[in-house]
Amino acid sequence: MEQRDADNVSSQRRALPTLEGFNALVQTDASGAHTLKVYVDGIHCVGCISIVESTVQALSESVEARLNVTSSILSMKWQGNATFAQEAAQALQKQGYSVRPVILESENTELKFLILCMGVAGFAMGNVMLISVGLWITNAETMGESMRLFLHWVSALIAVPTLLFSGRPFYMSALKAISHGRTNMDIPITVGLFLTVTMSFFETLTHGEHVYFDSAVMLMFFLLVGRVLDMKTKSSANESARNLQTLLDGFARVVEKGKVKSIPLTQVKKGATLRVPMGERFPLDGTLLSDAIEVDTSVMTGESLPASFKADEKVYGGMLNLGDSVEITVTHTYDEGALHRMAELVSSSSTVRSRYTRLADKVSRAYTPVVHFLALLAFVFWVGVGLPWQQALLISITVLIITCPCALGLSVPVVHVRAIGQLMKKGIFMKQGDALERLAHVDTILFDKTGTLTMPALSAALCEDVLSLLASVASHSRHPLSGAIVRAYTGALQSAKNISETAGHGVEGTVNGKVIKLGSASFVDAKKSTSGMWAKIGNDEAFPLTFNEGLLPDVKMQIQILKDKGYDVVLLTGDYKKAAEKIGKELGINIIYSQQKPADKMKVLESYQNDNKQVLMVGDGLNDAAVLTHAHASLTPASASDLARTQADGVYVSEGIAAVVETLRIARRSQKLIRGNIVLSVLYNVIAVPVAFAGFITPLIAALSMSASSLVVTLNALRLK
Amino acid sequence: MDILLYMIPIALLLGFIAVLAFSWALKSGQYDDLDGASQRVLLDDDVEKPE
Repeated sequence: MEQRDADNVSSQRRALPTLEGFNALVQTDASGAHTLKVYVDGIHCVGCISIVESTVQALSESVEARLNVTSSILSMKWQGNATFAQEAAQALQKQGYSVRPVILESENTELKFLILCMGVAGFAMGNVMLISVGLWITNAETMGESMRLFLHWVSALIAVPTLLFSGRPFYMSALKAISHGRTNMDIPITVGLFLTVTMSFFETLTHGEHVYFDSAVMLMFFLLVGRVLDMKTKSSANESARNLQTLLDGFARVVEKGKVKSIPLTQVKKGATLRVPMGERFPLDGTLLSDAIEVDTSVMTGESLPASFKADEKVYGGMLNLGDSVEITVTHTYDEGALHRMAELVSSSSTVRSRYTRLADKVSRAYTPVVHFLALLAFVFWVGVGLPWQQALLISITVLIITCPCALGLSVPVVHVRAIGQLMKKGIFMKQGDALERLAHVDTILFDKTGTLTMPALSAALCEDVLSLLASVASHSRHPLSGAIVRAYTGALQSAKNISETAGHGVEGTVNGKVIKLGSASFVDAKKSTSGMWAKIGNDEAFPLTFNEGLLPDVKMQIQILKDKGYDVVLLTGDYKKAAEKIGKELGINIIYSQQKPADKMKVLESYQNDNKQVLMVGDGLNDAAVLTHAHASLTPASASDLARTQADGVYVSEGIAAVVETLRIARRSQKLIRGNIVLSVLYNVIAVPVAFAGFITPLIAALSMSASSLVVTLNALRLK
Repeated sequence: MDILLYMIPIALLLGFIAVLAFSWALKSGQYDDLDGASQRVLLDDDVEKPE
């Protein structure tokens, strides 16, 4: 509940997205039923499911609402008026959930395909084993030659179609690798599967003694389990691509004949004029109609400092307008736009495996030729020794199956899936599996102060009128001190004009004809220059605002835990020296960098990186975004700015930094388990291959021991708590 | 042992029906929201409140 309240505050502070546009997204079928799918941000618990669904259902009798918790997509279906969409969106917004249109629903067809293949292989395995048990516990003398042949044929009947159906992921991948002149672990799998089945089929036709259909099906099933797990980790990585998409609210304010209409992004045409108010992102690529004083371009360039643009210059969708409201002429539609292309890039580059996975891949790549060579060698050797060719082929297939690196293939994904699942239960959302690996290597932690360790509270006693003016301007800023001013004022806010915010300096605006400035001493032209925020109303003398800095719960204890574990803890803040040192002293942090502008923060990060330190950045502000992006790993609280949330590796919902300690613990533990898994599976091969080569193992035992090794690896991963 | 001539085809048929049921469940989206299903069980909306 606490979290929902916190979200509530932040969504109110945020400029609420225009809602009338939802009506344009409603789809109506022939029978007059309307459907709409929307993203609902801020789903945390069971309670959210019923709140969201019942909120929508309470509005109308006829509506069906179903929330998909995994994807946070709410599907609504109703009869009657299409404008119901807007009502529903507003009602949800009031409950503290922000609602965004679904621009791109990532239907994971690949995952579904794998699950289908796995399921079919699973059923086939069950049936084929049922028959195999009968075949293996007895012999032809007991059950009769014809019964054995019958059972062989039944096995073939199950195994061959299954192999053709469920094996497709391997065959396709192997074919792709071969056509590109590469090798991968799917090639020995494919060869092994086909050889086993072909030979078994030959044995069946010639009324032979043993068939190995069961081994083939079982091998395939366990390999598919690994693939499904792997794919699940990857689809959580695709989440970051989705975040990038929803950076945009999904609507653009189109200026037409002097009126502003909000239209879904996908429907905006080239040449349209868009209005972009201060603090909102440019929805699409376009050319400026007037000067834009301050634009945060970090989405596109990674540059953390805002840049200024002149009229007729080009701006890209996703950039944040920090200055006055401007208008642009659209030059690219949504599908051709830069942000859309970037999101596609992220979703493709996020399939790049982490280092350990790549290690596993490398091992299996080097392995493929060795395995084939060994299998061939076994065949040639045993034929040379004088064994019948069927038996020699059997040994060679056993070598092929037993060396199949499927425990190795499983060793990384099972741990990642487990770790990400455990973290999620604790309210920590990681975007990528490989972030865990990076987190495990961290030795230095940079903490941003405000918002991460502390929460400001306005302590100065101001008269209501002054506070009202300040709060009205402060409400347009995302700066945490502005938030404290807004929190301190309980009355209704007045409308402010000409708002402009300078990151790292301050915000100004006009209320009731008076220019209100809030910011650093130099920003408000104060005579003295001391720490903290200053305010200036009209032409009056600037005066300082005092805040007490409240530590977030348990921060002191958690910092001590981190130090005890051997991490270098550093305070990196844009705040003044005195304030920073006070908090540093209170928390026992000795290394303090204060008065750091975004660019300075980057320099501090670089200096640590040059010392070969692996840095974890924990921060929440706009000014931390660059460091969050470039640090070895990064975490951010859920209350952080959108930009910080999209740049960080992980987002945590709890207050304080207990989540950071927990994430680091799980990351280190998971890396230990991954290493353990790799050792286990390599060990298994080192022992099994010579034994198989010597001809002591039948393909069935090979398949069993291989499943056992996969099981060991999976159980090992489950030890992560 | 002749019974096996009946039993095995029956077993295979049942297995095949199970595969069909599985692929239907997958297609109709029952595997789309595994997290939600595990949480929904805790909701008691379907319980009629006593008058």
